Amino acid sequence: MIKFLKDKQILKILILAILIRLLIAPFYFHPDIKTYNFQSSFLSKGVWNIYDYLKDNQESLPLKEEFVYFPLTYFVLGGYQIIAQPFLGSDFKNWLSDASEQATDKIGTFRYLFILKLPYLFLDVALAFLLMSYFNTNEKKKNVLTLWLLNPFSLILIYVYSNVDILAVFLATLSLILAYKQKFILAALFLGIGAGFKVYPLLLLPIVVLMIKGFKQKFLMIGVCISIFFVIILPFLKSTIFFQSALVSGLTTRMFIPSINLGFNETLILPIILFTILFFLGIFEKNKKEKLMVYCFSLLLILFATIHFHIQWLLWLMPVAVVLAVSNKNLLPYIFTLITMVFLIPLLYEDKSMTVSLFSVISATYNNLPTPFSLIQKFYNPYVLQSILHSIFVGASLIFIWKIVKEDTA
Amino acid sequence: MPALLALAIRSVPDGFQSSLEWTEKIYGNMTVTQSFISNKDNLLAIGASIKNPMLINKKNLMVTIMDERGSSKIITVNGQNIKDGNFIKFTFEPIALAANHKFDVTFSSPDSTSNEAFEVFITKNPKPTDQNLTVNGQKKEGAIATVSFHKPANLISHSLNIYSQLISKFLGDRIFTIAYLFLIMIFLGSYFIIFSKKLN
Repeated sequence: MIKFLKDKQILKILILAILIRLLIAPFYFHPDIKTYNFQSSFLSKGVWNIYDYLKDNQESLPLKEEFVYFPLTYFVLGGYQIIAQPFLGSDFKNWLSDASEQATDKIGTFRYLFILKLPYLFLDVALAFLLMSYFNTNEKKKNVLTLWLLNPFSLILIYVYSNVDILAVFLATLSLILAYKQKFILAALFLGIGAGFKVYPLLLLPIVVLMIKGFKQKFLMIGVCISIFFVIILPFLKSTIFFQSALVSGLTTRMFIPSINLGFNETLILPIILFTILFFLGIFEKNKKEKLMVYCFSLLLILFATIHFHIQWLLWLMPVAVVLAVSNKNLLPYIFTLITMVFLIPLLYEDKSMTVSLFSVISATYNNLPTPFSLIQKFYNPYVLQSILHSIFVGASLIFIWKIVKEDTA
Repeated sequence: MPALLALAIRSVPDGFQSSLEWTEKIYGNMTVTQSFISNKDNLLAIGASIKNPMLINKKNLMVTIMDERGSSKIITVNGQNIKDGNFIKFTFEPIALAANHKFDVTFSSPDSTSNEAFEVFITKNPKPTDQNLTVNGQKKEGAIATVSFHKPANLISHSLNIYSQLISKFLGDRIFTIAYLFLIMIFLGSYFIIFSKKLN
């Protein structure tokens, strides 16, 4: 890494990328950053089980949402707040607990957003260097650093949408790269830890297990990953609120919604069907190691193709997409098109916080702008438009997956 | 992009909505009326939070704005467009000379029954300009948690006003502003130093 920092071109890209992030971070606001930081602030008061605490005290709390992340998110964000408290200032806790629209108008908002997003900046830049370690040639190392640091999608997802998923994404990516380098126990460890922040890394486990030769090693990897995950959630398993708010979360429930009814209370679940097809294609894949990122990208593409998703979840796709695009330059236009399409879908949701309210820290009057949903509603049904766009994305994704899985494009 | 979007802002709220404490029902002959004095000209909308549990009510909710000078406007919104607890803007033709004049806002829904009543949120912290909450003719404590909206007199000056307020807010946190600008200067300076070395 130090060798690469001596390269002026890489240094220039790195400085430019950090500069852009510093200029964006304080000036865009998504309400999630306030919500999960408000919830994590209770760690400094000695609260360990945030799930039960929020439920038991819901009546008296100004923000009444459940904590929908896994325990490590709470402890890491809460711990960071304790460390950063001298820089956040005495009014920070008041800002966090202010549930009104006036909160973003308060002096200090820019400071809070900047400091709260600083860990994301470190992980984001660290991810760039992590992705570099995947490649052997200097040219590809430079390309992946440039593409990761200067692509608009991850920039917007992390700093505009205040995406705490960067924690899980970093660990999941680390795990994939360790698996690629045949360090499977370490890969399993980090995949399990990543799942302690958000459950999605566990989706990648079957793909990573495919890379391993020998059943003993496969079971060892699954055992290590699941054990780490289990140790993290064990203290909270007695809590029914933990089950409802985190374990049975948006992702785990939405995956089971797209289905074909067979009658007699039985349904065929579409994402599971497609995951299974992908998995069995992987079993017969001759070039498993080189196709690891292809299969991971395909799995995540299937997920977004078949469920109603939050825009923040698209960050899961980005590191793998960047690696694929650098591995094979011919794929870049297709990957760019697919990601643009999938990015547009949630912007059509009926939710101000996805669009106009992102600017509310600049002025609360931006909240009065019409959303794309309400503009489209004047002349067409926006739900139909969402459905059309999502359907096009499904078709394009399936063909792209077929192409990259079947062909030697890695 | 925010600068361009600022030019698209067609209505500006006068302040923020007060806290939502309880609700009053609106159906049949049950009406809720609130008086307020407009702070600004070009009044073009009144916003309030309305309950319509499970979107059960698909009848019309009517809002009547009665000017103390005698003119009135009636805005009708169908219950199908009122999601439970949503903040609804009731928009009408702008009233140009609205500043310092009293308006009565009445919420009614004559076609609704008690089983499907709309409910309007009331605050226990009325604004200084709020007066006389009456529910079905009876005076009550509190006020409807409304926000009045006004048309900006000039879009460009309004946009400039947004950015001047942004700068004041930014400069209001002096320690952060100095540290932040210092950090930006370091990175900007480093970038141009490396860039100029490359050119040389």
